[in-house]
Amino acid sequence: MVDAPPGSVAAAARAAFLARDLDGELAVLIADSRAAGDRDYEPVRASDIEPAQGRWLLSFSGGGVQVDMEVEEHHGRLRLIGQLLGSSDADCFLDSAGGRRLVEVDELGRFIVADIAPGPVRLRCRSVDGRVVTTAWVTV
Amino acid sequence: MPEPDVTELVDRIRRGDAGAWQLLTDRYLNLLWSIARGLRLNDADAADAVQTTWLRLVENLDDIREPKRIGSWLATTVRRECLDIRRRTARVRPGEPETPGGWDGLAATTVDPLDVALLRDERDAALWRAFHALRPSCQRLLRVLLTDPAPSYAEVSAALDTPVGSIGPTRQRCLKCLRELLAQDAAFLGEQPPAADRAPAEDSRGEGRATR
Repeated sequence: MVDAPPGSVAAAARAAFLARDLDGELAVLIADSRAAGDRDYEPVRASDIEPAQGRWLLSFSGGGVQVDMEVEEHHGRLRLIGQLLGSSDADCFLDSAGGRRLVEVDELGRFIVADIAPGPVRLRCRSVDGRVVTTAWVTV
Repeated sequence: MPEPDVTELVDRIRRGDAGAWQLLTDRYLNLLWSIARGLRLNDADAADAVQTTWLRLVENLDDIREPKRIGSWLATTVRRECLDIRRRTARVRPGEPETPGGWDGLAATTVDPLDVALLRDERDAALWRAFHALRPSCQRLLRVLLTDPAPSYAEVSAALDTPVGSIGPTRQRCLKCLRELLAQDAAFLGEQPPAADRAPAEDSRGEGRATR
């Protein structure tokens, strides 16, 4: 039917192949406070708060690294606040439609990335034993 | 030019062939888009759902166990991404009214922003009026079935999370409804009903698709 995808969608689809990661290990999403039926984060919610308005927390694990982060929205832009466990503090990047940007990680593994446009994102970091670990893509 | 088979495409993509990747995305882009739009995502959300699906395929390229079923894998993946996005946006906008009837109720009340652009002439307008008078489940099915290139029934089944065996009969019922609505519309306007070839191309999509 006539409802064809915009050209930008086709262009982005072709460019997705550039995201291929041959050397990285995958940290998969292990918890999502906004997934249906995910109870892992239940205790952090006050019982009188509608789940719809609860905080949005994501956890990834794999390749010797664990990432816990919260997604916050502010005027249509997003901010990620989180902590990396098992990663070295160097070489951490955020991939998004806007490209790749360096993520500053402090000595405790904490990080903040602000001003992210909604869309698919992933983190790419190096574990303490030198392996490259990439979180699974998640649409924020 | 004969289309390369998808198993071969996946094989080439795994070896890093960007041309094969382009052929694969060209082949399934319209299907993924129609699934996202059929679930009433707006342009931006549909684009995100489709893009995340491609990225997820790249991410899982070496773990796809049945490359010949890649279309169904993509259809299932984009449907899940759409559900995730819907759930998250619903929660970001707490003021949104609860619609009776869940998704179908919501779909019935949401204006499709693309429709205006689609109404190229009177006949398109009549067809789309009738289309939107169909049950949302029929609209979803027809959107996906009418994708170019035509999806297999296995892919439609994955796209709509519905058994393969129900697609043929449901499609017949939906097309019958569409024809009746078009006839009513034409009668109301005092016109001849649109020619049969304006109705979705039923004859070119035999049940043989199911065994492709």
